Amino acid sequence: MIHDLTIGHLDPAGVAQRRTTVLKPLNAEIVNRLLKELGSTDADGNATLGGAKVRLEDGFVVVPWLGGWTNRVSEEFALRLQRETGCLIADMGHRCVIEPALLAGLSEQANNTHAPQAAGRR
Amino acid sequence: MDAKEFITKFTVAVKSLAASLRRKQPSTTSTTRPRPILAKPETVPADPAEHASQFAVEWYDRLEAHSRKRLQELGIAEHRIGAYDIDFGFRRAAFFPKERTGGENSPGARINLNSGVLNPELLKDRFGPNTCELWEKGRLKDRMDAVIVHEDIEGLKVAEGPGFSAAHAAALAEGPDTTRAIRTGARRILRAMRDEPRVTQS
Repeated sequence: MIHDLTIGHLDPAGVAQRRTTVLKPLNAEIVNRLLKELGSTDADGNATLGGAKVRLEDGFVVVPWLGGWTNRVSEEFALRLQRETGCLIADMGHRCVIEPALLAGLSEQANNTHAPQAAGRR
Repeated sequence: MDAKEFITKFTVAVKSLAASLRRKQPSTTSTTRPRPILAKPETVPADPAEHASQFAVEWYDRLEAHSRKRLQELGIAEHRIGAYDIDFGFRRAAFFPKERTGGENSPGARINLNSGVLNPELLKDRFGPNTCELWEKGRLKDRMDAVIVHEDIEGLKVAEGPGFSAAHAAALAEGPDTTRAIRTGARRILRAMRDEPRVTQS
């Protein structure tokens, strides 16, 4: 129903089984810096991207992705984090690794295999 | 035996009987530990997603049965009902209590629901306010039907290969027009999901 991006140094073999195996924790400094650059905080002090809550887990991070729209800010966060750390991006709920080329981010230069969310809507 | 001797013997006999009865009375002190009347109350988490998951773990059996039944009633093929839940020893389940997204589809377009259907704030910050309100006020059956239809369409589209973004968009667009016999409330949620204009991201 809704999709999140799970970002971290994860074992790709575990993704198909929905197993989140952290090979090494993400660099917290980089994560916090990118959250500051791209996100904000809600009333409870939680980090948000595109207005939706981010979950900082043990060594990895879960950001909101698909819902009524594609969360491009989260995509940008995932792309930058992947570029800086070489980590893996996955949709754990749906058991698949997401290649960076499939994410548009804020540049809006996505691979055309992923149509914009609004395309099918009235 | 004169009357005085009789009374004396009678009195002794009564006292003896009373003493033996007192010895036979059960002990009022028990050596077994008293059982608590109620189990220790669990703290209700402030986060609705956490609360939904906690509740779902507790009531898994009912939710599993209900989800499976509803998937069958809506005509989902048996081989597409349920997937393997890693959180519980890879049991095949139609309901995943620890997952929080409402529902998911796995390879083979298999469908499962999860604790997100119990979370009134599931769609908060992900959909527009009208959709969120319909979801929040919707009955569990309405939410389940909406998720089943969404995952049904999305799972089949993913199997065709266009990727998750496109499959998700197709599920949003086609969901309200499903031919499956979903509840009116569910169709209302799906319509709102499709029609409500996007909110500008901050």
